[in-house]
Amino acid sequence: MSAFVEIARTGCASIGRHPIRSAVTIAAVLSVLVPYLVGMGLVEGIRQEALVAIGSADGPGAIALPDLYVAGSRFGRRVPIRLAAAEDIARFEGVVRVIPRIVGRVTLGKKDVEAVLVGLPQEELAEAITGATIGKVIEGQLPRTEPGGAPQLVLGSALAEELGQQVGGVIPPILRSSRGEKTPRIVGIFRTDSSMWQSRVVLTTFETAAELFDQQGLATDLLVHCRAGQPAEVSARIVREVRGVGDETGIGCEVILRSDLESLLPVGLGHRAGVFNLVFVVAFSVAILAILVISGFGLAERRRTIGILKATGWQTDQVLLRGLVEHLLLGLIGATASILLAFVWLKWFNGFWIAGVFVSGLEISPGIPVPFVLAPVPVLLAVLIACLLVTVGSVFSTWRTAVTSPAEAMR
Amino acid sequence: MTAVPLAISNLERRYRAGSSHEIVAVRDVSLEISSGSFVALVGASGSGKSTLLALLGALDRPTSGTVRVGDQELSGCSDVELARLRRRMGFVFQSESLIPRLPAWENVSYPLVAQGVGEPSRRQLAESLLDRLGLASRFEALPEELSGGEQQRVAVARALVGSPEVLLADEPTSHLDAESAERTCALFREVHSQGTTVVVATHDPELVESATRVVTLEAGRVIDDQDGRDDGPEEIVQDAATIR
Repeated sequence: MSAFVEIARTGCASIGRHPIRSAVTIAAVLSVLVPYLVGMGLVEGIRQEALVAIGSADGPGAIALPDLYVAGSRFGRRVPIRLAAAEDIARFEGVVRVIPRIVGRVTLGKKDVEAVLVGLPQEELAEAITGATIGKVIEGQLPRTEPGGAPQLVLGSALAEELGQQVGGVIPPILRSSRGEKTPRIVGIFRTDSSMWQSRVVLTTFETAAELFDQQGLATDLLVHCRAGQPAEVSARIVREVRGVGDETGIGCEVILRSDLESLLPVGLGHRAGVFNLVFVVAFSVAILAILVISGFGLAERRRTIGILKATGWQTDQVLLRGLVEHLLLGLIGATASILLAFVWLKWFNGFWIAGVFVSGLEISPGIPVPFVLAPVPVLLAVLIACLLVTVGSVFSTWRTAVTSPAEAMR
Repeated sequence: MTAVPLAISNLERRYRAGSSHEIVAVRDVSLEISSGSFVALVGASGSGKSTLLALLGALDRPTSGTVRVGDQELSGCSDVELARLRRRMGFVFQSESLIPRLPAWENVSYPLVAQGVGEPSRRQLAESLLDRLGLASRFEALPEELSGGEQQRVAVARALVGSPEVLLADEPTSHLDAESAERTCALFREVHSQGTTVVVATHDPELVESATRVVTLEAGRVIDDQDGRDDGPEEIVQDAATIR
């Protein structure tokens, strides 16, 4: 046991005695692991934020989001639904409440900046944002519907920055409706540290959205809250009984359950993560080759050292143990440094460059805080990969030398 | 301390030099070295002294023939058994045998790491040996900071650190100045007087004079093997240098 400890100590000391070799090996580990951890951290962060957005997350931040998303249906495609359908659905057994929503694409400002406009009933807005205190999420106030007044909007943080807008500002008319031209006023801007999804959203009241799009009596979808255990039953009844579109020719409703959204979520992220993993596998292979080359630089010196160790009474397994301890420790140092650097990259550099791979529309330097979670599985995997990466190359060459005669190793 | 007798029988060692050329470094050598003897191997450069020493020290494998250390035949030994045998021997290499980046004291005491000796004891042993070899002030020096002679003395100290039963040395005084060579010879005599078997390949008349037996090699063969020679050590060394 004491020989084991003494040999392990010499293995540890060997790291400091070969500073350049150790530094280059750790650098090779970092070059592979840091981008991997940043990528995996982003995937998990985005996934968790998306789960919060569709109301599937647990814990204190969780909010009550709809169980069903109901829209009209024609030719098997989702189309706007009659607003009156909300009243029909609200009467169904198991339905708690029904909220109409308008979601549409708009262009803003002289640069025709594209954005998503979301309109919700005024009383639902505060809850729809995140359920948190409004002041924490929005700088300014929530939009209201004022008869005859200017449409009130809350802009996403990235949009406000791109348009150079502040609270109280006005922007050129979005749409010219049948009721005349309206110049919207900015009453609030989302704070940058709130949810990532707000960055390119324009939030307003349902009435204002309907006016801006000039679509009275319609909603893009109805958000239906159900009693526990009832969503599937209510969904079936909506499809069977509710006339979604505004003619007499058919029923025409399409319902998406929240559970469907939850199952769809990993697909998109998984695809991007898969591509990222593929790139990582290539990088991993290159890194193994690089470390083999690095190991080769000191091979003559290592061969001689191993020869001397064997000549002075070291056993092959003791020589291997010394190398194994040295390289495992190097792997652990590399993995720890990678985790720290990945955290710094995500926290202080906001996922610079890599975030764009996972979030469409994000620039190299994201203007919004990108969500991330360094989950235990990728972190443990990183430690494992680092140790494998470093030991595979060196232990094999050490073993090959250690099994030859000392005279040959020293020759 | 129990010294170990060494016996080699019909030993041959061939090397391949290039794709077709083969060198026979040692051919048909048989020797018995009794416990506690002091044997000097003499002969011109390339006569096979170093190869013979490496074979005796279990550092190399013979092409044919046998080497016995005590009652153990080396070709039948496992890796662990060979390592244990090497711990009972001390080997001084001809040159460049120190581990780079290790200070002198660690180079001296590194063999003891594999035996589980803790750092304080290793330091103490190394300090005592380096002091005896006049290197007390070079305790922390790296090999690159040591002269050739100092490196050789550190290598001698390393060979002695495990209190070996057999000391094998390949031209241990070749890089030393007269004073250091004398000090090393004295140390070898002292080690021998304590019962250690000493086998040394050398051109140094003083070491030859210390030997109780002189074996002369030529082109890998033993051409002379005497327990004592009438002529002096200088003559023996000169004779050995002229034959090949």
